[in-house]
Amino acid sequence: MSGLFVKGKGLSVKALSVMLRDQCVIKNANFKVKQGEHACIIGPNGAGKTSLLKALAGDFPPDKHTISSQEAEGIFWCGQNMHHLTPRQRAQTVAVLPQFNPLNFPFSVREVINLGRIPYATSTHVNGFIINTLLDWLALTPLQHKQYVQLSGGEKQRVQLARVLAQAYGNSDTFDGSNKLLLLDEPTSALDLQHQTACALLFKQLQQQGLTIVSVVHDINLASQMANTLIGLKHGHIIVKGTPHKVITPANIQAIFDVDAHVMTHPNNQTPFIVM
Amino acid sequence: MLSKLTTPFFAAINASRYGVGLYVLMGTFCVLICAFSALFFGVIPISVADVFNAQATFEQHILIELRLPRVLLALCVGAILAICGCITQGLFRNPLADPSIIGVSAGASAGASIVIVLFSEQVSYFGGLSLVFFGAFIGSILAVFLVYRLATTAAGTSVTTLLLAGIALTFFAGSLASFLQYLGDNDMLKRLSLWRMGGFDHANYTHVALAISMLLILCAILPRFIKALNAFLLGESQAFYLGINVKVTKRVLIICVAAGVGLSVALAGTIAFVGLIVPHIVRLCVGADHRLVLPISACLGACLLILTDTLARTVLQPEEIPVGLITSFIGAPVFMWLLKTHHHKVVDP
Repeated sequence: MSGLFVKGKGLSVKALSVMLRDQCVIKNANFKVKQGEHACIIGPNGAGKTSLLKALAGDFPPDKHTISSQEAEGIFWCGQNMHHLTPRQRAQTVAVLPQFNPLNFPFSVREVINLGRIPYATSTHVNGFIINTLLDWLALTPLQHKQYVQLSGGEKQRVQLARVLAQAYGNSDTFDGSNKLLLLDEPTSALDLQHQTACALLFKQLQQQGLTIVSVVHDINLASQMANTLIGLKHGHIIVKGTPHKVITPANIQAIFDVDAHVMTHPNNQTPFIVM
Repeated sequence: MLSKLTTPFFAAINASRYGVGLYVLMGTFCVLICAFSALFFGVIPISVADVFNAQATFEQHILIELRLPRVLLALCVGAILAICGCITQGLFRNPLADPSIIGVSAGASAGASIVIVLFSEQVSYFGGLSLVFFGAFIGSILAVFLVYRLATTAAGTSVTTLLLAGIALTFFAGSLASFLQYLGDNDMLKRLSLWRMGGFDHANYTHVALAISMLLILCAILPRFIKALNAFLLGESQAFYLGINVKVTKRVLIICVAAGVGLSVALAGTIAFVGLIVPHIVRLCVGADHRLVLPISACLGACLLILTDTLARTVLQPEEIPVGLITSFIGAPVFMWLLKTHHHKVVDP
């Protein structure tokens, strides 16, 4: 399967437009995310952030109404057009955490995380080891035998995150993020400050293992801390993209969100942050 | 919705490496015991010794020609209904869904009514199967086909539309059946209502062969869809992200449910609550993993229907009570008890 992909090429989106019910929700989006980098999509409500993420996840099959299937256009992962992948190849390459994950059935935390191993034919032993690792990473070990339905909102979100990471984990018991793309729709929206920080740190560490991440994040300051690239979306248009320093300026914030904000610099790591 | 019962007994087996195998072994054992003991209950007292007694030809005849096909049919129909219940609940991501939700029972009922009222004079049999059987089976398949077509667009099959179309069709088929009842005479009315209450009293080996084949087909197809069913519980798009072919999975599973429930209803009338309550109880004991839920539900469904059918033919002997009546009579209170005792653990998102 690795022969399909050119290593290190990362994600490249070319002339992507998405039509949903006669409405153009994404208009001619072009951007690149290098392997091992984290791109955060920011923008106001209804800007098309989730639609863009869903398009990357393969939710909209290419036909004349949605994504053009011409060679020059589309979503390319490591040089390979993603719509040419089989469902299993895609599931072993792209792991997606949707915004809402309703689950009404009595699964234990371990069982939910194990669902992320569905695309792989690895042994129960390897899966068990991976689940233990993820429980440790997300501080879920004390909850591992609890019922998912009995958890709090933030705990559920961490379990779902662990499930998606189990899918991005790969075939062996050591994490290898190269060739893996992680798509996260508001992964930290229900988390408290401590877990938010821990997650941001975890993402950084996984990036160092080669993992490429595209996420939708509402908190600009968190996005500024986590991202290598910010993508500012409004009315389906990418109106600004680049490093946090380039994107987070009073003028851009005004253009994207229609609010006046002051931009300051973090005393320790010099990343920009905003106050109203 | 419902959380899991955590008794040391189930916890011990769940923790074991051989969990699935152990459960299936225990389940099969229980089914065999139920089936074997059910053979020796009935109006005519028959003992195990009679089986080996060369003089007891009459008793042996009753055992082989009457009770054995009946017990086998109850076993298969119970297993099929429970399996179809599991699939429907998984497919609709709702632990309270029932196979009749997509219009199977209503379609079968309308088909049976048409046959009973319009063809009453010539009650014909084809190879051991009554005309009513064909009416009910065709009615149920047509109903599901129609509901499925209504819910399917170029974008795929919407589970919500499937449910709503099922409800609409249930009303339509219900009114059709009522209209035919209105036209029918007393004899037809009695046959109609008896058919609707369900029963195994006409069981013969043709019925058994059909039911066993259906059960075997389901057992051959479903293991391939266990991972898909588990992924479906997370949501359809989540299943897609996990590499499941959502379209094919939905189509195959709906065909399985339509054929399974259609055949059961055609053979034994509408038997309520088995498809709803059995998977529910099983999930309370072993959790939601279909690797466990499907086989254990099949075993429990089989046991349950063998037991209720035995009750049906012994409680008021020599009279028989329709088995569908008993499953509802026992099933509904049990379900109410489940709601009362376990729904306080509901944590809705």
